[in-house]
Amino acid sequence: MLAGQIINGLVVGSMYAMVAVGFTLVLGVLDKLNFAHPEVFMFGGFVGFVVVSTGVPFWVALPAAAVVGGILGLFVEWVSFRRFTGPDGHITAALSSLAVGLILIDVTQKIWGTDPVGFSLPASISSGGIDVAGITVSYLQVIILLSTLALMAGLHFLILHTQLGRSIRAIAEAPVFASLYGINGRRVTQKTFVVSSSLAAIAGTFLSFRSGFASTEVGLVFGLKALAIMAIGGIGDMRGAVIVGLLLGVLEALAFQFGMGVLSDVAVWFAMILFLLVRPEGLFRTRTREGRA
Amino acid sequence: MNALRVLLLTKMIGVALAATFLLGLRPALAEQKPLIKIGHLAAMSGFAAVYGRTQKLAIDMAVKDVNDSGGINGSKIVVLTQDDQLSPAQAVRLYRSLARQGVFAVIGPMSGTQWETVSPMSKRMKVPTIGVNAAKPGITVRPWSIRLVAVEDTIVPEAVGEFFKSYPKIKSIVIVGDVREASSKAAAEMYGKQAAKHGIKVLDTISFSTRATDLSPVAIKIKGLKPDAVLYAGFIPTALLLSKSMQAQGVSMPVLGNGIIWPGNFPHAAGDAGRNWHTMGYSTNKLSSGDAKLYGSFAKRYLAIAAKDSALQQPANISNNTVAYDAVMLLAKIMRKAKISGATDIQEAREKIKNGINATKTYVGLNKYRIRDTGDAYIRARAMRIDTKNKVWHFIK
Amino acid sequence: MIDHLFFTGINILLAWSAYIVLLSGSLSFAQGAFMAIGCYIAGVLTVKFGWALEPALVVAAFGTAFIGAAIGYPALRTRGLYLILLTVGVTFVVRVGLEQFEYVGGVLGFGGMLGATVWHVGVAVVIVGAALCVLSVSPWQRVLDAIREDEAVAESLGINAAKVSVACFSAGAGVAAIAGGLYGHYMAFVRPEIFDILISIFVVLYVILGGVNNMWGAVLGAAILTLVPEYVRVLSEWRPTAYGVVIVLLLLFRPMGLLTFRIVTVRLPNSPRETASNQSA
Repeated sequence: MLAGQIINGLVVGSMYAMVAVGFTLVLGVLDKLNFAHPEVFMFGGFVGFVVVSTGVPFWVALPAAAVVGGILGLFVEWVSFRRFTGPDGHITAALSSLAVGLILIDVTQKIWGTDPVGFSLPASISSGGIDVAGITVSYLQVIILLSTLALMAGLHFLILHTQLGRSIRAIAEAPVFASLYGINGRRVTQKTFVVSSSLAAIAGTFLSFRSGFASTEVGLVFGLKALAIMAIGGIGDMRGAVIVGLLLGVLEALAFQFGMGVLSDVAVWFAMILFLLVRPEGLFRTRTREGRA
Repeated sequence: MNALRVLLLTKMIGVALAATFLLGLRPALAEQKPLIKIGHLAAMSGFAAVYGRTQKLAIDMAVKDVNDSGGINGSKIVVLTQDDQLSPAQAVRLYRSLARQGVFAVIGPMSGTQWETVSPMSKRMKVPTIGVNAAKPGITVRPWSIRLVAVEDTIVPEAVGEFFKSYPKIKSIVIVGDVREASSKAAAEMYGKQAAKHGIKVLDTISFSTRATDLSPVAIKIKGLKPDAVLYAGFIPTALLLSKSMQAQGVSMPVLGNGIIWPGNFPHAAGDAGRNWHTMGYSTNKLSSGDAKLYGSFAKRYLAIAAKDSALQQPANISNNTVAYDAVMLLAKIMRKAKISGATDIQEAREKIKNGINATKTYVGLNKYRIRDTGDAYIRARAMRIDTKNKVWHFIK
Repeated sequence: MIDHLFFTGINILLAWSAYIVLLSGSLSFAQGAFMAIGCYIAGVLTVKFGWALEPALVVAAFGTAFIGAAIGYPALRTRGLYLILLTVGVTFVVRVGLEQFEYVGGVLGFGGMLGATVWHVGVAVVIVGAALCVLSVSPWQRVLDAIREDEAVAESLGINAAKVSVACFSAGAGVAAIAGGLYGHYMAFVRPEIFDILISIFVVLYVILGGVNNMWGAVLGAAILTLVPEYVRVLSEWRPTAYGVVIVLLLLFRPMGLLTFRIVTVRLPNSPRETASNQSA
């Protein structure tokens, strides 16, 4: 059972990882917190619901979510982040994105109501699966795990080996110099938002597939956990976000296994507090902008 | 000013005075008796909005029925619904505001925390208050408030007993409870006691948190423990998570959920994963313990009105909204008997209603109630399971 | 009406509690937790030990301030976003802690405390407000400004930034405790679930939207965000969207909040700090 719980925990953790990575990407590059990120994640769940209930093959939901997420990301960037670029702009932009998030929740509730909306995936992938270590890992979970790995690998490739990735890294390191080198700050920012929000929306779709319903409440919970994950993994550190996200999934599963399920959703905060007191620079000793004079 | 003008002025003033007098008289002559106001506190916005809205639906039906049959001693009734957003602070504020507006009684508020806050207030402010939702035992403060809902110290034992009887092969169970929520925590503890009473072994008690976004570890644990049944106490979102996880893990033993998952859209949202799920309550869309004819026509009307609400998944789940209807009808009955009308002095009316409520030992409306000494009602509780095709609850037998 | 005043007063106190911490340059999302602690301490004293409300509130304030200092001392070693997240974590942990604490009812809640009136809130608001006014015209305001602007420079001027920051955090906790105690004794019944992370988030919003540069911003933000939704109930259907739109518009046109002025600090002649601050300004 223990091994089974761990494997299951990794699948859950992969969703945490996807949300946290997007969050930390924008934070690392732009030094800004995008509070609309969790709500884009939430909305991705509804994209999944809409696609499946219209009878279209379920996998269509993934590119659909990516597109919808990207559009929302562009919108958020335009409304909340473009104007506030000064040093005091951090809090203002964050608040503005929080407001956009609130509006998104409300609009979603107006369309689909406040109750969770249930839906079912074809039984072949949601119930059928591989039996390993005493548990059933449904084909759906396998798909989620593999897709997450693929997307993370793709992101890694993007950041390290493409022009866009180089631009992103340049801006993250030293925005002033980046513009001197002719990097179009605004374009890069927009693309960063698109990537980050698409990932969030896809993660949201995965969650709703797994849960069997789309709910407007998940944004707050996941968003706060993603923040804690970033704090442990190091702000701006994508590797940290992925690893801590996966570990969190496993930690929560183990909490249940050992009878402490009541603490499962605050486990991350205990872990974070412990970490911040012991090792404030994050798991991999990431230097944030604040660390530089 | 010359004399003619003075005369003219006096005439004008005289006419004006007379007109005012007559006009003032006219409303009094054509006057209906003033309306009887009843307050209603419910969540009309926010995540619990659907419960408040459906409750108001039932209340509006009751108001119409009362007014169509002649009102109360000549006065029509009107229910002032206030949106408290399930917040205790709002409930306190709005309760006071309703009291100031001269309501004769208040129905609600909905949540356990709110009821626990408002019930003592009813005593301090001397306003009759009828609770129609919260089911946690021991929190009603007499004599100014009562609850028409049955509470969990009777519901749980009865429903669990019926559940075990319907599945006599059950020898062992696992209890799964949301221990961060008061009502569910109490229910989980009662499950343990009931299991002991029926000689059924509790293999484990798994606790989880209200805001959990994933309960697959719980399903995995259940799979490993292999109980004959699962007893669940918690809200609908986590019930949905558990049902889907259990389906994914291929565990399909019967699950009994507490009364919290009875109202709302669990039958719709759970879909096929709800096949083996049960709940506890006292009525279905078709049957209740009360007056069968009354219930039949009520249910038909309710479902017809609810069908027009596009935000509700159809068919609507009537569940405990019957209690709100009965609360209005009970108040109407008491007021008629006590000869209260809209012209009665507010304090006097409230006093009489309070006395009438406390004198009521049984009442038969859509449900059959017996009022207990604790100030809560007893309604016979049943266990129900899901009809997955029609997406409604129905009695086990 | 009285209820409106009461809750507005509570929110003003809470907003000030966040403002006090903000003065030293840290954003705290733990005010909800300190409100809870204050509420429970005061409640235990009045309900279980029969104390009168006023001394219970005072003890609750100091007790919570002490706890705030104990938390703040290690916590304020972190900076920026990490500190913010740490305070969020504190709020969660405190709530879970209270739920496990059976002596005060745990998840089921705790009741029976009575006696808070609008007058109590009024007095508390006046006292805290006066203290803040005095602070803003005292040399301490300059010290706080210095720490907020640039901690390294402040340290080089001989200011012990760590001590001052912890003092502010502690004072903020004490004020939040008073608000919590008053709230509890008005509602007569509380559960840990009331003291949710959302309270802490709203408190910060009051301060930021009202204006971070002076104490009146917190008052305005708290007053507006408490009262407007009440009087514009028409919007309640669309309340979150309305909130969101208002916030976005506000931030676009007045990013520093509604009240952006700084309270003019009195120039005390020949004070050494005064001279030093002049040079760094």
